[in-house]
Amino acid sequence: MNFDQNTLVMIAIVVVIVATVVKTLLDVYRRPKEPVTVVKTLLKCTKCDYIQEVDYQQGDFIGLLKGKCPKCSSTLKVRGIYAIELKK
Amino acid sequence: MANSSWLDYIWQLVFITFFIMIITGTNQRIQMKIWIYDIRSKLNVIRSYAESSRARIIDALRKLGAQDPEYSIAKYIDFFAISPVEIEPIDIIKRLDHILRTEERAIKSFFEKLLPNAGKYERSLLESSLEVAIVLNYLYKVIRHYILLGEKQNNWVLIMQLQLQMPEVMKVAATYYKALDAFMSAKPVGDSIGAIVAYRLIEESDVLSRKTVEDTAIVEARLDSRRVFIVKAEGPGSNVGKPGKVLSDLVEELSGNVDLVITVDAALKLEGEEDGEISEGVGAAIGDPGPEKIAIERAAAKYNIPLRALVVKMDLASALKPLKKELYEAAERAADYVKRLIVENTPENATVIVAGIGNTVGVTQ
Ligand SMILES: [Zn+2]
Repeated sequence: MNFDQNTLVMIAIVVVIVATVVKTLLDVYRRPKEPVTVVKTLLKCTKCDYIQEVDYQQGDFIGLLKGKCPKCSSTLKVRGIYAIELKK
Repeated sequence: MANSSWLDYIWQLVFITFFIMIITGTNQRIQMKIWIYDIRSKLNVIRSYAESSRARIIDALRKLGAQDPEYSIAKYIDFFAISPVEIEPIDIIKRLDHILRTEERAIKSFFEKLLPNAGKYERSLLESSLEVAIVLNYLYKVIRHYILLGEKQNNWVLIMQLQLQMPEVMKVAATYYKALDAFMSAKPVGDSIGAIVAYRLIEESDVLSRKTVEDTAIVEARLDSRRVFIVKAEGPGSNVGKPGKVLSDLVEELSGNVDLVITVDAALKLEGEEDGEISEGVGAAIGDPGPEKIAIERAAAKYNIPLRALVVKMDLASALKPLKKELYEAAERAADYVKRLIVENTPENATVIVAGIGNTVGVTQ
């Protein structure tokens, strides 16, 4: 197959234009992935410095007394509730 | 050779077609169709958010034993408040406050009638969830209004503006939809940071007395040998309280003998700033429509009390979604910061008021 110079230039231009359009459309329509999060409850002993992070349970709130300390068996208290991102 | 001239004709035709399209505006019409298609597909997502939030609230209401929740929610989903006349500023704060309180009472009594057996806590969560559903419903209707208007009037400038704004609108819609989850299940959100700081201070001081006025808790305590009053909304339900009114009444009660007032709140960050950055300043850090903020400013100005502010920066999405770990850590730092501010700016035995501003969902006192 023989192409003259003009046709080659035309084809090159068309390829560049199509590539640019596709790239732009991909940038615009590709949705950024939402990170998956889990909510954790941070428990702290009211007497000693024992601290433990557990899964959040419905009904937890900051200041809730919940469970016993495994070290000194006094009461644990919810110190914080926060969402952490899961790494894929 | 014959082949090549045939190709030439096609190119000629293509260019002439393009030329005619450009001078007649057909290209714009094609573009408009593409934009409309894109906006409509995004609008469908917003509609699904609005419908699903409504369905979840109705579901929760039914579980709590409400009679015919569909009808009641349909009645309140378009609830609105009309802002007061602004060209006559005399007593505008009083009028605005009156409207806001009427709105609050209307929604409260709506839920009281609907759920006579449910507790204040469950009702407060559903009140906030309904507010989220109202916002999503309104957003859907506004976007639908503009796309229909643009199509009807063939107004491609309107459609283009809408198309350019859709990414931001979608972000706001997704944020509110996520916020619904936090309010339905009573998880602390980014906006709760002021309440968390207040709670941490209560926890670390010797509490002398506690009382609750207008959904707002006032805790009197000794902290670093100072008399500290800590004000926050009453938790752990979803509630912002009346911190301004309560703080100003408290200052009056103490006949103005207060050495320092500190307000702590979440603030919107500028793009490029870090989530959880702590900034110190002066003034009342509170993002209400006006009445609460002005009450704090007036009380402080009347008795010449220094008014300091501490804000934790975050974007709108972080403020409404369940609290991120970085922001929780910022709350811990902010509590230490407040203690340092108190020690550095007041002598021993001084009287200080600290107000933790924001929604106290998931935080007790
Ligand atoms: Zn322990």
